[in-house]
Amino acid sequence: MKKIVLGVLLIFTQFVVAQMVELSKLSSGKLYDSDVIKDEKNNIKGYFLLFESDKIQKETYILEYVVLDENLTKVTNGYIEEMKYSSLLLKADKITVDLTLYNDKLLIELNDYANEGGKFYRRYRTLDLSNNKMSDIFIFRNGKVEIKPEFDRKLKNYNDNQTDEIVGVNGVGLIAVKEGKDDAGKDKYLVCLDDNFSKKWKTTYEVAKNNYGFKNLEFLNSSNNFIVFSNHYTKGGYYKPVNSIVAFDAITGKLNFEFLFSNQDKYTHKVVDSYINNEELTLLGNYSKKSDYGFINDEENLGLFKIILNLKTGKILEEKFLNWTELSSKIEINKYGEIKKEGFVFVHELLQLSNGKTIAVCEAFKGSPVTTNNIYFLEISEKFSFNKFLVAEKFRNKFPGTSAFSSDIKEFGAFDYMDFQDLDDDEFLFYFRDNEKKSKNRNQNTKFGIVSYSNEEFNKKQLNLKTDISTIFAYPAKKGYIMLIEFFDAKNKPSQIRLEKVNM
Amino acid sequence: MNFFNFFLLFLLTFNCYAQDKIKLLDTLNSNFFKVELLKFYKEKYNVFNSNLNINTSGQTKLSKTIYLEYQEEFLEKIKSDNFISDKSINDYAQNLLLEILEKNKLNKKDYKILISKDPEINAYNSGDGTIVVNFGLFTILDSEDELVFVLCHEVSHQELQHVKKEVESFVNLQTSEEIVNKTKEIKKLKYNRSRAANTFLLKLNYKNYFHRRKKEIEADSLGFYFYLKTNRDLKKSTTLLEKLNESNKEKNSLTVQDYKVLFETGAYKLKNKYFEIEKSIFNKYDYKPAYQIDSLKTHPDCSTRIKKIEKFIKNQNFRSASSEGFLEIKKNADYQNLYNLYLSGEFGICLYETLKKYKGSNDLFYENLIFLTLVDIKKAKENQTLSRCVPQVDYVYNSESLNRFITLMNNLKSSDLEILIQKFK
Repeated sequence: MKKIVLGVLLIFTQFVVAQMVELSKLSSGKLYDSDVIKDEKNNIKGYFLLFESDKIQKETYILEYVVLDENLTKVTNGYIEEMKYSSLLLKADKITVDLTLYNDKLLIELNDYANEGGKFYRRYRTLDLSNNKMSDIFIFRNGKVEIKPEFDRKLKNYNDNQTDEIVGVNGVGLIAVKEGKDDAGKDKYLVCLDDNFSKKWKTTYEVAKNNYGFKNLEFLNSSNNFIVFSNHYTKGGYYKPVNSIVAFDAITGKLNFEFLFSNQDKYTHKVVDSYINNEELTLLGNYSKKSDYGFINDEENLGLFKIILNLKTGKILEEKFLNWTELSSKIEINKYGEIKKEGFVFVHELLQLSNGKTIAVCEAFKGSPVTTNNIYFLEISEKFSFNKFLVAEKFRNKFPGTSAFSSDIKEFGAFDYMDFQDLDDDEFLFYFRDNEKKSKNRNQNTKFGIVSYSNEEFNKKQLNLKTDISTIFAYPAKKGYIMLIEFFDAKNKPSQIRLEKVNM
Repeated sequence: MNFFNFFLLFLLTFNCYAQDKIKLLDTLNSNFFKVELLKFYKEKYNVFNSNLNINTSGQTKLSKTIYLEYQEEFLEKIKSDNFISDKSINDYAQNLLLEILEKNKLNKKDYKILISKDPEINAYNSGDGTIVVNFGLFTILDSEDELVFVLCHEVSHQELQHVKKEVESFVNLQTSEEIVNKTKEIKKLKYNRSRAANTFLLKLNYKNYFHRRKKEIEADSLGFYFYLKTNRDLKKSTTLLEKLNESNKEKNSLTVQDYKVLFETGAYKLKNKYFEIEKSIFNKYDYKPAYQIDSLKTHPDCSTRIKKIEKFIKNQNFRSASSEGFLEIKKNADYQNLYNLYLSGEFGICLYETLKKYKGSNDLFYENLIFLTLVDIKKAKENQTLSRCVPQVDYVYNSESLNRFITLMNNLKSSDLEILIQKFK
């Protein structure tokens, strides 16, 4: 509760700071980046903000980080020293953060970021949530962890100044992925690290090129016993139309199996979500006609798949496919997933329920010009056949003069679907920007859409964010809540941030 | 006063008539009171602003900015019905203030006292002779003498011209060569500019807060002298400070069992999951702002103030006495304070505090207030605006009991609230 005092009116507290505009300007931080802290169920547990605090020498800055909990209460803060690259050819505008929560720790990936050049000079820190201690910078380079490395940032040394990928794996620890051949041209491998960055195990996942090319792993899922990566082969510097799943024993690091998707001469598969239940891995995704580089073919998208594998052996326990044509009695959709007058289907989520059913969240889109349309919420039966759906009709967002693949539209945040919250007991909330279908000016019709799935039923709700005195922005927040940020038209009224429980 | 408020007042007064009579403060003349008060302060500010006379034009401009901003804020408080219009309480407070002024031979025409509806336990002097007492203060007072001591403290601030002096010293500091030169110097720095600016700001603020703490001790000292002249119980000066020291600590709490007793009926049971607070992933809250608040507190600790005052209490004592007027206000202070919370739209805190009072008492006034707040909370929930009237969960500043209440309010569905409304109707 607020401290209560008795005495002379405190009218000057604000002036002491506010009037010293010049000095205050010099001392205040500039926001570089922020990221949400999510748990394994995709629920927000906190926020991490990074500010530039001071420049202490050429290319070296003091940054302040601030951690907020899910209720927006300040948890901790601190100051770290970071380099930010600057040369005649390329100048970083800020430093970005990407977070992974694992084992009561935050793995913080830091990158220099240039508006013109994207992310570069990746490195890591960890924040131990048991004592709020921030680690020194560390990188994994040439098969070794280096703590507080000396950076010699010249473009010719580019690779020596950044790390290979490190993954924070809940229940296991840090897994460093040796991505390329080491100095001696030796194998590619994974190294599991303990809290002191000492090696727990090392496992080789590639000795030499095989018929498909070289492996290119991306972390997919894990449990206390298994670590699973998806793999997309490359050859001659290009992606190949061959995708697989590679599973390791989390305790010993032993490679359990590599599973190659079937019929890759005809089809391309994309895993959207995956689940581990004891020794079973469930892969949920969509598939299209084969594409040259092994990425899903937006315009020849055939349907959804569900594959269950034994995690020790890689044996297929179940393999099911659902073609878009199964939906055509209810939705005007053709065999390539094109909905009449709306565009092709992009699959945002495939969520597995405890009763074996699956929820699919799909958004209709066109790649040229980039256009996003209605969102479809599908319930799929345990037998992987179509049960029912809810369509959230919304404003058609069109970006004239643009052209992009679905993966790029997703990456740049141009889809209207935002995120979901897992409320447990097979209940979910889905959030999306929901501007009025017939509005001509979307800025004047700001709506926020929510779809709930509860007791095996979908329900839609629309929040009107327009007021006469302010502009409100809504975002998913902690489990069951949305964050409303309200900017008032009145000059002196400070903006408000509120967390509002969603009532469906 | 709008019709709705009048209706509520009527409802609360009427329903409680059967038990010991609860008389809430009269708000019938609030519009007239507001208009008169606005007129009074506009005239007062006009005269004050035209008399501003400070050395240089730059300084005058800054002083005016400070005063104008404050005046605007104060007028806004009047416009938003922040001050109680009830004649009896205003007359009572004004007479008490006059007693202090007369006994100390101070100029009466410089002073005015107002009672704010604010439930926060506080009082303040605005520098123009206005002393504002928050109604919340009455909830912790046990004796009129304690209130007199508060007023003496605020009168001292006025007599010592603390507000005026603080504005002057602030303006002088702002336009001083030291600040101007230091700012230029820091701007020229290529590296460590922010650290230099922060260090300098911190130093200035420490100096400023040190002076303000000193002013509080001065006001206590002169206030005690004024209080001495009123022939009241000297020990009440320290009992008041002790209560202020304790006022931040939450008294009473509500457990899950309490809610079950308060809300459940034979047919309706609260779901256990309504009380489940999501576990935080954080184990330690150690956020430290750039400015260390503990070192920058504007007021010295109550214990320090008590020690300083106690030195003068020896062998000087009078018996505590409270007038009928005080006893009348005090009798209904808890009810009135909760009602003020309700009127200010703080439905969550109003309900929480009312439930704590209602627990075990079954007081009809509280029962009616619970009904009214539940109706508004349901309305807010249906409009997705609950967070405007119910505070947020906070693991640092809120008690476990308050967080439990907030969680429950958020988790109750409209249908649950409807059942509770019917129960308390």
